[in-house]
Order: sequence, then C-alpha cells, then structure tokens
Amino acid sequence: MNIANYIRGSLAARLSIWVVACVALLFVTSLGVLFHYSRLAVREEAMEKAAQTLEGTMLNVENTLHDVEVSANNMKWLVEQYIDTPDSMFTFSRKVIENNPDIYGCSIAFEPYYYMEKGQYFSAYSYNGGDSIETEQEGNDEYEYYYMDWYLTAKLLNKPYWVEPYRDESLGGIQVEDYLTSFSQPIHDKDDKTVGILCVDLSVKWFSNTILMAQPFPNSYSVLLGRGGTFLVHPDTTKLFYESIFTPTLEQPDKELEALGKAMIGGESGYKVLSRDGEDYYVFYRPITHTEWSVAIVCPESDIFEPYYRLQKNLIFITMVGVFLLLFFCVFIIRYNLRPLKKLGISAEKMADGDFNVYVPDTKRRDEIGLLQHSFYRMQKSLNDYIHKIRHSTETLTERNDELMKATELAKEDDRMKTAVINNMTEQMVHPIDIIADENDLIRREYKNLSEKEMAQHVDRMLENTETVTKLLNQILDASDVANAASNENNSTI
Amino acid sequence: MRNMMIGHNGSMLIFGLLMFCSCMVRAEKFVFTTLWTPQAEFAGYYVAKEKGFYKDAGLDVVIQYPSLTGSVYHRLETDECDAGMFSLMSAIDIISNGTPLVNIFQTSMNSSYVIISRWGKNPLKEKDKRIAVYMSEPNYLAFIMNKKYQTNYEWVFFTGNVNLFLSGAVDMMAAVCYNEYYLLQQAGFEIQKEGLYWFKDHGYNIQENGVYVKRDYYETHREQVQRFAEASKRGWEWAESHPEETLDIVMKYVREGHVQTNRVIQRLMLKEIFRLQKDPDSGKREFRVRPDMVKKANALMMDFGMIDREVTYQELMGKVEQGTRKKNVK
Repeated sequence: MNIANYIRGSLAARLSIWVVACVALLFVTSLGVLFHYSRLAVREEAMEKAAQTLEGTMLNVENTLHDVEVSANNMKWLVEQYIDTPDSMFTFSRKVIENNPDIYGCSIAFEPYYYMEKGQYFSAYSYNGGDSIETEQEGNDEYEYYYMDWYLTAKLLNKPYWVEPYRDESLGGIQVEDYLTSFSQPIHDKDDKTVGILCVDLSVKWFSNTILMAQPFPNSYSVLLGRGGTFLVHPDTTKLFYESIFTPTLEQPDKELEALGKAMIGGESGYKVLSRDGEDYYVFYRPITHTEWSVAIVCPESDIFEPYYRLQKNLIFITMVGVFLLLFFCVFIIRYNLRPLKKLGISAEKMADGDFNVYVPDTKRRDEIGLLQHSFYRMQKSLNDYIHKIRHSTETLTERNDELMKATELAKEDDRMKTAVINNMTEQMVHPIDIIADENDLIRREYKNLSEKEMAQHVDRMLENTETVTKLLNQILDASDVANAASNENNSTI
Repeated sequence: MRNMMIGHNGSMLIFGLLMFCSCMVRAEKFVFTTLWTPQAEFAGYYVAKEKGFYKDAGLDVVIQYPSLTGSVYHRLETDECDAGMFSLMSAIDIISNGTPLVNIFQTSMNSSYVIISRWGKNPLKEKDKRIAVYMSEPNYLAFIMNKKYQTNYEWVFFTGNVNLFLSGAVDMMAAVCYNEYYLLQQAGFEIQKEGLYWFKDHGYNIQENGVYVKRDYYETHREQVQRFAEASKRGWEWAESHPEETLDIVMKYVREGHVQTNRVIQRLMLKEIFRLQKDPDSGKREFRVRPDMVKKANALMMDFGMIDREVTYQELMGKVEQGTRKKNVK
C-alpha cells in the first residue's frame, strides 16, 4: 500500500498531517521572522567587526605614515636651514633613518647643478642595510633622479606627496630590489623657490604585513589599492603592482567591480557587495589619509553570516526533529483515541453484512466518541429487537401464504374440473341439438308434404333430443351448484 | 680487434670534425636595443628569439633595454648594441644631426601618438599647460603641434607610467594608444573623447618604430642585418597567427624585466600593435618604410625648424653611397 493510499484511508494520518502542517507553517513563519532579524543583527555585528578591524589597521598605518611625515618635516626644516652646506645633506639623510626604524631610505636630492661644485647630480641617499645604514651619492646618466616620479610629482605639485609604490631599479649606485613608497616634499631655498626634494622611503612589505594581518573573519583578506586602483597589497602576490582592480573590466565589463574601484579610488568609505564565482563578498573600504590610497577588507558572505547560518542550521534541525516527533505523537494519540471508531467501523461493516449479533462493547467515555459508541451500542440492541420482531411476523406470514397457496391451487383445480364438465356436457349436447335443428329445418321445409305420422315422428325425435339436452343442462346446473358450494367452502377456509 | 680500433679512431675523428664544424657555424652575436622595457610592443622579436628563428638565421640575438633615463641612441652611439629601435622622426633627426643610420626593419605603419587631457578638455585649447612627455624618445609631433597651435605647453619629461598624470601634476600627457591609453583605463580614469588629440586624425599619420643600425655597421654587415630582418618578420608573422602563445612569451620577458604589467594589458597592446602594423592604404602588413611618410616627416620637421636638411628615403634605407651624403649642417 503506498503512502497516498494509506493517508487517504487513515483519518489519524490525515489529522496528524493537518496538525503537523499547521504547526510547521507556524514554525516557518516564526523562524522566517526570527531569521530575518537575526540576519540583520549578525550583519550589523559583522560590519561593526569589519569596520573596527579596518579602523584599527588604518590607525596603525596612519600612525606610522604620520611618524614618517613628522620625521621628514623635521628634517626638511633642518635641510632648509643648512641648504648652503651640501655635505651636511648626507648626515641629515642618515639621521632620518636613525630616528625612525620604519623608514627604509632617505634621499635629499637637488635640481641639476644646484650645487655647481657637485655637478649635475646631487642627491644624498641613505638606506637601511639591515645591520648598518649606508649612505651614498645617487644619480648618474643612467639614473637621472629628477625625472623620477618621487622627485617630479612633489616638485610639480609643490606640496608633500605620497608617491605610488614603485620598484627602484637604478642602474648606477644603490639598487633597491624591494617595492617602495616615498613621502616626498619640496625643499625651498630662501627665496621660496623649489630647489630639491626630500624623500623618505618606506618598504611596501611593512604595509603588506600590517594590512594583511587585518583579518576579521577566517577567510577574509585585505587589499590596499593605489591611486590608480593598483593592488599594492593583496594576498595573491601575482596581482601585486601588476594588476589593478579595473584590470578584469578591460576585457569584460563588470559594473560591480568598476563601481567598487571608482568608490575606492574616489576616497569614499563604506561597503559594497560583490558577486564572484557564485558567492557574495562584502567589501569594506576606507581611504588612507593624505595618500589617496584605499584599504579594503574583503569578507565572504559565508564568513560574515557564519553565526547566522549556524543558528539557522541548528534551528532548522531542531524544528524538523520537533515536527517529526509531533507527527509521531499525533499519529499515536489520534490513533489511540480513534481506536473505538475503528472497532465501530468493523462492527458496522459486519452489521452491514447482516451480522447483527456482532459484539459492540459499551463504553464509559463521555466524549463524542464515547457518545457515538454508546449510541451505536444502543442502536445495535434496538435493531436486534426490531429484527427479531420482523422475523417472527415474517414466519407467520409465510405460513399463511402457504395456506393461501394451497387454497388457490384447490380453487384452480375446481375451475379446471368445472370447465372439463361443462365442455363434456356441451359436447354431449351438440348431437341432440343438431338433431333438433335438422328436424326443425325438415319440418319448416317439408311440413306441407309430411304426413301426420311423419310429423309426429319428427316431433317425437325433437322432444326426445330436447329432453336429452334438458337432462344435460340439469346435470350442468347440479355440477355448478356443487362447484359453488366447494368454492364457498374454500373461500371460507381462506 | 684491429677493425675495432679503426672504428673507434674513426668515430673520434668524426666527432672532432663535428665539433669543429659546430664552432665554425656558431651563431653571430647581434645586440638589439628596444625602445622601452619589455612589453608586447616587441613581441615579434621575442618570438623570433624564442622560436629559434634568429638561430635558424645564424644569429645569436641579444635583446636589451634602455634604462629609465638612458636612451637607445646613446647605446647605439657607444656601440653597446648593434641595432636600436627608433621612430621614423627620431631616425631622421639623428641622421640629420650627423649620425648616419640605416633602417633595416620597419614594423610600424601608422602613428600611435595621442595627447590626453587630465581634465577632459580639448588639448588644442589648453594654453600654457603642463604636458608630460616620455624622455625615452622626443615626441616630435607634440612639439610641432605646440608650435603650430601656439599652445605654449610646459614640457615635463618623465620616465614612465601614468602616476604623474593621475596625480594631477600635469594637465596632459603625450601617450601612445597601445600603452598609456589602456593603462589609464586600467587606473579607472575615464577618458573623454573631447580630451583626446589623435595625431593620425590631423594629418600626422607618420610611421614610428623601426630597427636601425649605424651606416658603418650596415656596410659591413649587410647580409647579417638582412637575416635579422627576415627572422624578425617571421617572428611577427608567427606572433599574429599565435597570439596567446606569443603572450606567453611576452609575459616571460615582462616578468624577467620586473615590469609592472599584466596579461590583459599586454593582450590589448599586442592587438593594437598588430593594427598599427597594417599599411593605411593596403590594409596589409608590409614591413616597409613608406617614402611618402619619410617625405612628410621631413617636411614637417623642416617647417618647424627641427632639422636643417632633408633625409631622403634612399639615405634612410642605405641606398646612397656614403660619400654622396650631404654634410650635416648642425
């Protein structure tokens, strides 16, 4: 028997399903509301967490950048004070690194031929060599520093400027294999004319370590974008400095990514949702003061809503178990309560088959089923009495009917006999009547020619036959009287 | 036993002969300096090298790059390389200034130069503004345009990338359509049509990249440069029919050179380079210097006082006897 048939045939199953369906609907509605608000709460909490992590990272980065800026500003004042003593620039550049271990290198570079005695190139460059601080003169025909971004940008803007990270591969002098970012600011002479640039370098590794540590969720990661959206920090090192956030959009337009990139390089703060490979990512971003760079924490939705999904999973599991238990208990309790009905049903079926003596127990239950059972019990009793009476009457009727049948048979026999007698009599009367008719016809035709004797003979023959007929008629009448008498006797018997 | 001894000695003899022959046919070294750091602009040369086309031509080509502030001309002049890459106008300028060069291979058939405004304004209407120009090679057309339209630009020479432009330190940038144009898009910069000045659309469609050697070198290595040109052409043709494999090769060079780029940018660049290699009239890749463009470049440069004498097509192609060249006036 399949389930559908079972359900169709079982009131208990149907009732249980209805109850469970109603309860499940109630659960779903309640859980839906609960999930909705839980999701909002979890998201808010996650966003708060991500924002705090981002804020903490930014504070860390900005503090270091600020320290670098302060060091550079202090040194710039000294450089401008001692601008007429070029050799002191080597000491100053060295001092900057000594005072701030975060700084990788420092250039105090001047315009070509600013110091005529020093020639076309004069740039005092010191860098942190690990164990010691090295100082050298940088610049030559293969590395004309005054064409480099770190020099040119601050000079043209005539204001302090954080240079986009770069790989400094000067062919002469000191070669730096690391990616650097530089804080450059113009050096002015006494006439406030820009005569050089003071540039302090910071290793991008420092940023990477600090920013990559910002990981509010297990699978989240942080990125740092430069002015042009270039990845300055990214867990996928193949993208570092080579790709920008817009790179994938060059061949395949991606509105979401473009909007995120534009918002980030535009110096906005906030968050956006990105869909990638079938998963949503929440990207929280914020610009770094003074630099026009932007830090973002990328959090997979599965991470953000992990507590929510856990809650959801547990609640759904508990609910499903509850619903199954409810179904089980419903079936059990309803079947238990409907058991008398089932028995009544079986009894009723037997009664329908004519077995009115089937056992129907009485009950002391006072509920509807008890009432029904009691009523059924009484009905069965009443039916039994009634049927007994009917049976008795039927038996009497049958007896009488048999008698009637016998009487009817007798009457029919009488009729048959009467008919036979009459037929016999009638046949016997045919001949005398024919003779009477012939004699009559002869007399009518030949009365003139007949003698009296002949006439008398003919009349005698007619009288003789008439007497025969009369005798026969009297016999019929007698038989009829006998038959009537028998019939009356039969009727009275019936 | 004796036979074996003879056999052994014979093998040794053949091996020795082979070694001798291989030394005799060892590829000739040919040092070639490109115009810029590794990128798809030079894909055909990388392919020719990686696929052994140069080797097949008996050449051991060494591809070198100028430093950020160094020039190809300096490397060629100081014999640091045998061949260097120049634009047609640069070559004319160098020749007119007394250093005879000969074009041995031409790839560019069109101008790629464009001026891009930082603020989306028409560059012709931007007066007294700063414009960034690469210092790797003079942008003659930008200088001509500046004179012609009296825009009085302030020239800012820079080494590369688009950071200077994005910082707002300059108002415009003289760029090439296969590089900075895409780099700016990659940086999220919205390039506005009215902020562009395409030289090709204003009667300045002049060929650019070609490979040049000094005249003296050409005279003594005619057959060698011929082989270089043929192998390079083969490289470019292979590159066009195998763009993705070419990109693999380009990316290898790019990574070795620590160039801050990526495959997407290089793919776009390669496509654009292929487009620029097609002759504007025939629509085919002809790998030749067009005499009419040489004439036009000469006329422009002379009109705007950049050269004192005309450099003829014949001279540029090394078809004029050395003694018959006009003496440089400058």
